[in-house]
Amino acid sequence: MKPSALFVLLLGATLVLGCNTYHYYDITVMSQSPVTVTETSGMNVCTLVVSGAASDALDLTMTLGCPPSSSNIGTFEYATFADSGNITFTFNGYSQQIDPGMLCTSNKVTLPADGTITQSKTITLTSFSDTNCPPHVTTGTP
Amino acid sequence: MLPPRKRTRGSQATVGLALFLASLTLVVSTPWSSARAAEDDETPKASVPDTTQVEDTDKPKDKSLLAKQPADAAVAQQNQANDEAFYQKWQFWAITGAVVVGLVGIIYGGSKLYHSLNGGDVRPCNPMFVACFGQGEPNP
Repeated sequence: MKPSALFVLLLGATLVLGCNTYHYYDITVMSQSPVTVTETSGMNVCTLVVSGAASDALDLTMTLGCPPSSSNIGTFEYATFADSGNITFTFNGYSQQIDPGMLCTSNKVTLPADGTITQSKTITLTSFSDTNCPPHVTTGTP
Repeated sequence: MLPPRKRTRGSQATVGLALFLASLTLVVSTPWSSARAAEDDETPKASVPDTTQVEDTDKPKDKSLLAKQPADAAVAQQNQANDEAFYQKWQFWAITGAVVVGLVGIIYGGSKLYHSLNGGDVRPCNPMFVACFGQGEPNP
């Protein structure tokens, strides 16, 4: 096989297969006043929904450490080949299970899915539903 | 009744001549006959050295020209090599080895190229992060 033919073959394979590049999104989740650590400590289930340029549903309960013990809940990294459009990360904290009636807090960030290799953003929890997630009440023994 | 014919002198000579020729034929045709032995002992006239006939004027005087040339040895070796089976030839194993090495290289390089075109390896997870997700990550 001639070198030129081999080059054309490799070029064709490259065009057919495409060229994927990882793009990383470093998302930090933290709570901010008026949300208190006491309130967020009532969240036992945490999820992250990825939408837009990429789609995913992640359970952060074990990895992110729900219930949180501080206002800085944690940072995670999401990798995707998406390089166009926008990608949205939505954090949801539930009291007991994934149920809209048990949703304590939620917030999201949207980033452009472009050629940037690494992008960082913070999801700040600024609202908390005491209705869905009543604060822990310590009851003494009568 | 006719009287017996008297042998004539001519018929006697004829009979004698016939007997002589028969005995002569017998003597000559017998292998162990003295006549044949004498003939075998004779040195062929052809073997008598005759310089004008024996000497080959075309034969080169230089002995080195009559010696086997390397080309003759190469031809003999070639003939011997042609008699070998294909798997006994080093060229067969050289080509086979080259093909195997080439195939392994193509498969290995192709897989690497395919993996690279598909993004390659995801970068290691930062230990400061609580978790890493998405494509290429071990976490679901």
